[in-house]
Amino acid sequence: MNVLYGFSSIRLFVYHILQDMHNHDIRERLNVETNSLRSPEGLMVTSTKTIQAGEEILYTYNYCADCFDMGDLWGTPGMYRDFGFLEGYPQYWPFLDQKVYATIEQLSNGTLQARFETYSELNVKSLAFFETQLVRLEAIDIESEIQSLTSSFWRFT
Amino acid sequence: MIRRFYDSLKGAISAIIEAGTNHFSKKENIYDDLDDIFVVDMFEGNHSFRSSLGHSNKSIGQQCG
Repeated sequence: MNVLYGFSSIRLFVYHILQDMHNHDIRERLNVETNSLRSPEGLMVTSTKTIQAGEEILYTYNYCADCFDMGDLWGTPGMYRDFGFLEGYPQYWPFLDQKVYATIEQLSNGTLQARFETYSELNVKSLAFFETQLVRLEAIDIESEIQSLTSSFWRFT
Repeated sequence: MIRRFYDSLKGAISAIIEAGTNHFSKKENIYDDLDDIFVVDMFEGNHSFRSSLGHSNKSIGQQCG
């Protein structure tokens, strides 16, 4: 599951310990940063803003110093796929095949608004793709789908 | 969590469709030209079309005019 395949097992172990000490959040809300695991001085975690006692330590699982371009490729769906949780807004949704990279912001009235990266290419073809996918999604009876899933308890017993 | 992901995906796609539709509706006969590409500069807020037909770097106003 971890994508840091290139690291030694010791470095990977250290990184897992670090991950257990903080939670993931989007870049706008992080309060610590790190240097590279490959740094000769060793791994250092530094606060980027004042952190009160009891406050959550927030780092990133996909925009870390050694994550390369994972964040841009994974976005919100990648975090859900590999870590099992959903990021809060603003969310980043990369649609790689369509070359559409959208940041979805939630306005104060709850409305969702899309902003596109400069290299996004949203054209009428990809727009038709999104319209088709929306029709497919809306045709899904999500409650029935969830009910039909085997619980993790039965899956591992 | 599955339901939340489903809702987020639907919301993201709906927002993308709305942004794209609003933009394309500003140009006449946009659906006749499949080569037009919608580019938004999120930092500058500039909106422009690129096209394989040689309409590069024209503003929306120029395209519509």
